[in-house]
Amino acid sequence: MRRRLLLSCLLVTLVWVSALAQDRRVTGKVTSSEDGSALPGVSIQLKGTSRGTQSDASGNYSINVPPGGGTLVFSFIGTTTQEVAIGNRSTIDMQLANDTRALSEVVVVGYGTQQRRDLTGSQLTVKGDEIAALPVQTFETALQGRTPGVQITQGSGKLGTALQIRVRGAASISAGNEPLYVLDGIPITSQDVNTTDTELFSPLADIDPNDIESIEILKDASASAIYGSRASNGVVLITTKRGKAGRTNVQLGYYTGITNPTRIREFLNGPEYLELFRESLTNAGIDPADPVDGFPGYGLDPNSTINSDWAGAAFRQGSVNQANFGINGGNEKTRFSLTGATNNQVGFIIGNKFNRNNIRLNLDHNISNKFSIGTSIAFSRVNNKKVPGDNAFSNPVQLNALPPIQAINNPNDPTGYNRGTLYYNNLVELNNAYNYARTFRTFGNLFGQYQIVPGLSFRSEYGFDILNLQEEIYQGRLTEDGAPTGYGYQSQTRVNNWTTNNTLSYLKNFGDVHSLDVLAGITYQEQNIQDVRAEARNFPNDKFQTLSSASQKRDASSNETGFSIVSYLARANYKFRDRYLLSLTGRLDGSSRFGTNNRYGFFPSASVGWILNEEPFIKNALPSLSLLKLRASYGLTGNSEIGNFASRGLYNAINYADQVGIRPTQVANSDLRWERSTQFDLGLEFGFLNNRVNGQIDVYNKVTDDLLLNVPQPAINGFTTIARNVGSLRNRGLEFSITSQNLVGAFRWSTNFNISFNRNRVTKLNVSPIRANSRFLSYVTEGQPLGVFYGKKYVGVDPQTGDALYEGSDGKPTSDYASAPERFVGNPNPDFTGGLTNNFSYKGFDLSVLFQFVYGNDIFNTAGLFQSVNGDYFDNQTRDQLRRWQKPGDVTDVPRAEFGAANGTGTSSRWVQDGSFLRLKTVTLGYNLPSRLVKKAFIQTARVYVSGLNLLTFTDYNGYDPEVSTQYVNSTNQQANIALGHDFYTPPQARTITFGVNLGF
Amino acid sequence: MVFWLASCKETLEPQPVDLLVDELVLNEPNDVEPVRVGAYSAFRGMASPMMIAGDFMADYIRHNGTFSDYRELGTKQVTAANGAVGALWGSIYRTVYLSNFIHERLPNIAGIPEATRKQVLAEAKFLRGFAYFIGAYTYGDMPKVTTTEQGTNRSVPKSPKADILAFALEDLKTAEADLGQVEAGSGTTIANSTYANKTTARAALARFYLYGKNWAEAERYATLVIDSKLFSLEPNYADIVLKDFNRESILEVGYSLSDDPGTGNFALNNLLVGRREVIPSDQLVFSLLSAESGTRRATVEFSSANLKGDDNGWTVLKYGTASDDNNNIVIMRLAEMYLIRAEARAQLGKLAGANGAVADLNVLRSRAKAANVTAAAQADVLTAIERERVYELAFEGHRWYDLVRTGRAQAVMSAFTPNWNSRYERWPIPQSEIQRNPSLKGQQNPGY
Repeated sequence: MRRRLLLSCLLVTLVWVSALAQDRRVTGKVTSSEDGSALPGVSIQLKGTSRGTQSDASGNYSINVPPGGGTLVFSFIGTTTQEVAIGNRSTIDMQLANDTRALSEVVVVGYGTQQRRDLTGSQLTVKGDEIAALPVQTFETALQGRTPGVQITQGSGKLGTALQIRVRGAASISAGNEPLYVLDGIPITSQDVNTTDTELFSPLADIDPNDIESIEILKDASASAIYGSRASNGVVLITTKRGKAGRTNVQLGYYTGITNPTRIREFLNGPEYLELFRESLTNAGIDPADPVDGFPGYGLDPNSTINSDWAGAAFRQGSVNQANFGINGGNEKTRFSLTGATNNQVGFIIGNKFNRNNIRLNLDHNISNKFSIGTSIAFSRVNNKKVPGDNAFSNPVQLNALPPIQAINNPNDPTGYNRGTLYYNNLVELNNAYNYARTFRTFGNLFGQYQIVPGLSFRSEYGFDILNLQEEIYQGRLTEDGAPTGYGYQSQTRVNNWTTNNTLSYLKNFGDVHSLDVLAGITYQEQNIQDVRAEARNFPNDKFQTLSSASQKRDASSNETGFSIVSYLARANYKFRDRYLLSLTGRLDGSSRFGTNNRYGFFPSASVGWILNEEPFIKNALPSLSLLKLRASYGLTGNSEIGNFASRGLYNAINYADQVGIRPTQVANSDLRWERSTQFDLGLEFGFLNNRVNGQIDVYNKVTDDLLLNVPQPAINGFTTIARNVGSLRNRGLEFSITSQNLVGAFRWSTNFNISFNRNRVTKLNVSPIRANSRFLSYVTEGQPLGVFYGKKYVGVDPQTGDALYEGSDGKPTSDYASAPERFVGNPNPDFTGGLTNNFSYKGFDLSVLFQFVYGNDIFNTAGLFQSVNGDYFDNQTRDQLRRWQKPGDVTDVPRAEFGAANGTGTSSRWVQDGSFLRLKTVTLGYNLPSRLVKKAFIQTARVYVSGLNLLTFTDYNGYDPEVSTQYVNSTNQQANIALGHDFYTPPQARTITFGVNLGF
Repeated sequence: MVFWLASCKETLEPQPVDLLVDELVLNEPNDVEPVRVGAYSAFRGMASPMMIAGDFMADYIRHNGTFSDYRELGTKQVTAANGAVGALWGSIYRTVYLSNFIHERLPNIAGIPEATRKQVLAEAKFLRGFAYFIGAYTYGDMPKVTTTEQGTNRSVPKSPKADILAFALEDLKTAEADLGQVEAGSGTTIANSTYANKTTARAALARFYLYGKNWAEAERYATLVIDSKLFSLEPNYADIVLKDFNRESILEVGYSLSDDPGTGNFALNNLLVGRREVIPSDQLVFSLLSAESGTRRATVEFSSANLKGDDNGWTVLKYGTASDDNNNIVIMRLAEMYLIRAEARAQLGKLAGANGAVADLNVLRSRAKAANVTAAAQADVLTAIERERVYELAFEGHRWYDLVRTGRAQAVMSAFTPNWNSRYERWPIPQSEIQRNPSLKGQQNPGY
């Protein structure tokens, strides 16, 4: 049977080859229209067929075409795509112009599309191609450095961790600060729902970056107000790749690589440790060999010759592997795109693993030339073997606290590890514990669009997003939390979202003078979250790990919550003489989250644009100007991430000595409503030399009022707080980006640079200043940015005594920690952020280099309280503690080592550092194999590449990694919003090097 | 779509699942029992701060920990920012809120047996009356809150202490009238001391009249409780210390393994045993170890393992951990009724004989296997009663209230600590209340 199949394949091939023989040959040369230089590597395709070729190093090509001719399609990166009818010609030379897509490109906007040239709002586009091949778990990571006005921070290098995304600054203190994510028109679940820790993981990791056609980030009110009460933090529109009519393209991709921590902090080695702690004990009047108070009292050997690298034990060389395919094609009536991938990452943090399998089918069909339908279905499964939260003794990074004079391994212990260490040797967990988060995700939508009369069409969409998260923890009996008989935990969480959008749009040109584009619609969304969980102890042995095997089941619970939102929306775009633009949008949102007195909110915006280069007086004076557009917008948006039932009077079941009762837990506030942002934006877009150089500048002022805060009220009400809309804050800033095609022709070089400045300030609080956590410096108070560092100011060491000094209330140094007043000692918000990208290509080679920078933010290393305290306790110390004060006259910033004396150990600015950094974020070097070579293997295109992520980081921060934000205190939204720029045994970022290949058939 | 829009109001008011919203609570007969339990749960919140007020404010304790709230209580430098001061205030008004809530909702619910309605309303009155009674003797003048209406309650001014007490008395009297009578031998020990019945209200009234120096009524009510025979003295005092729901418990708030306060800020076991945040004062230990105290020395225990720094090594045993049998808090028990009657009778000049003060004291002495009281003169009997209250009721939240109401506070406490000042005969109004309630601006209690 198999042989017969093979035979028939051969026959088909022979027939095909003989068919080719009857064709004729067309040749020609492809050059640049700018300077006439030859363009190598241009793809030349016979339209509607699988025939194609590439131009050679001199720009020459030849292709076989049928006798009847047809159409040739010339396409090349960075140029416009040209089609030309062959007719009877046998020689066709082609000049390709630089891509001026920024002018004519159609971009996705809320509930529709629009020509970029006609946009009056501020929005940012990132193409899927730019991010597809990067070895990241979630696409937001790949946006870093490319998004002016959008600050993207990855809190740690844990796999699948959620990123913090701030579109034009943080606009809320207590409510959500993350943007709304919309996938192919359907709002999706983007916030973690895990039940096991405060560390957030990204539900967006369920989306394969390869599937993304484009990402639009809506920044100003004009662009985002059509999303109403959920738009204050910006809106991210993700559009997936859809099928295109024409030949069927088959793409295969594979990459593999290694990953390592960007940096491991240096700690004392064995001899250094002994030296410091001998001195520390001696200074405290303790004999280091004292059996109770000295080393032996803590299980340490003062004569130990062991020298363990505990800090390094937390890490290993990890790996990344991904294989993906894409099949794309169809005809004028039906088009499809079928994609899939499997991604496997072994983290550089010990015990950390991530795996995703996904498939997606996007289908479009024209029932008639008036009626089209389509669907998208995507499934993904993500398995994340998580590492413990930063504040757990089981966090591998906390191994750095263990004395280097204690051994890591113990061959006589059943675990193979030394379990007699000062703190928990969590390496034990590698083989005795796990924490899995398994996500099963389904995205689906379908739409129908009907053209009622030319220009007027109705579109109806229905979409759902079902997230099913299963969490499984088992802690064996040899682990700290599992002792003595094992601990198990299971939970199931389901987030069910469904949405319907129904819009009517009308597009009409009146002569050449007026152009009108209006849209009106109704949408409805409902979300429901349910979870059930249980835990158990006492397992017969560690091989039994399901809860049914345990004898003590405890803490079983189930929960359910949800919201619904119904909205009416409208937009009108008007264009006069192709140069004066006006856009009005409005949305009326009714949300179950709002109080009955404020159930509906209206969110309007207005914007105007003026395309100056269309004005004759400018056109004539500056002919090289290809675009000059001035735009301004003003509008109102809301933030409804205030909790599902914050406005209602609530009662809880309570346990009174095992009897069940009901007690009120929250007092109703029927006036409660969304937080309200009004934003003004002024933008200028420009392009020269047919857009070879183009860019834009935006300034904005975003004022957020009605911030939701728990306002204290007299206890005589029965409740001490009530949720009310009282505070205000402001973000204002400037964004600038410029793109330049520096060199065109055979050697191409383009540069993109962007930079953004944002200033955040809490203008009205109406409640007492807020602190995230007593160990943290994070603070919220009027007149200061969110999360400003507030604490005692460390000013160094008294050269005479070696005592730590703080700034006293008289401004003079004092060694009395208690009396030192608190000061503003830092700001976790950067002065500016940005990126610089350079792309080069020559013949088949291409090179892309992206630098990312963040400047002016401070970091507080909370772990300094334990690891950089001049040997106050037996935690291993950072190497900088060796420069401690030793004798009168020593001038240093590290106080005298004195065991247990708390000399300089209180929370203070001692561990505040500048967190600015410049990072070589990505480098990709690729080579497109010559087509004549690959054609022999029936391959259309073949590309090999090496890529590096986070290769170099330049910073003064001496911790692990300057891009850091520990999440262990984030048990509420408010804490997550405030606790910025803190490091607490937080794993660093990944430095990844991959090698990959992409094949097109 | 028309249908869909018409149903918008409904879709925008989804019902929370684990939580209930206002309009869904206490609107049907089935809700009555859980809401009643909820009221007792709010009342339970008062128990621990009440003990802290009664014992930690007085000469019973020494501060031995690091929390500033307890340092203030131990060194007698209480401020308006003290957490315990706020906690008792808050839990008093939580109890009042629940009681008001029941009074507003319960009368309107159809289908409830009249007896149940009457009983639950009376229990709510009892809890509110008790809360205001304790409040008035702790804080003096205080706001009188009689509704759950948040707008009204945002700014309620102080009412004089006498008005608060009159209001409390009215509640307790109504409760006495309306609460069901439980006959001796019926009901369970646990039920009889968990939920208020007629005798519970009478016990509270006995204490109320004692504090109000209405000796005759105090005597009458204490006698009613004692004669009800609903409660009986435990033969062995150690059972009072170590067991929940013993036979003499009149009113007790319960905890179980699943709702134990654990290491919370006002968790008595954590304060007295776990953290040893406070330890019994030397003079209290001497008292409890005296011959007169007898078996009541079981209240405290010595362990040399605790002898670190200034620690005297003694621990109060009356409050156990979640897994011990004594993690409840007793609010009233029968021995107190004997002491109330003894004091009332002594004040009335009834000293000797079967119906005299000394006889009541000796009931407790004999249970404690200690020698009988020999005092005969009225003043001596009263002093003996004061001592007897220390032995019998130490760490049950009485001492400070006793010293203040008998006018002995200044003398006893000045001898105990130089920091004592007569302002400490009342607690301050919590600082946060002064800040948040405009009607309390400038209305802090004198001296704070």
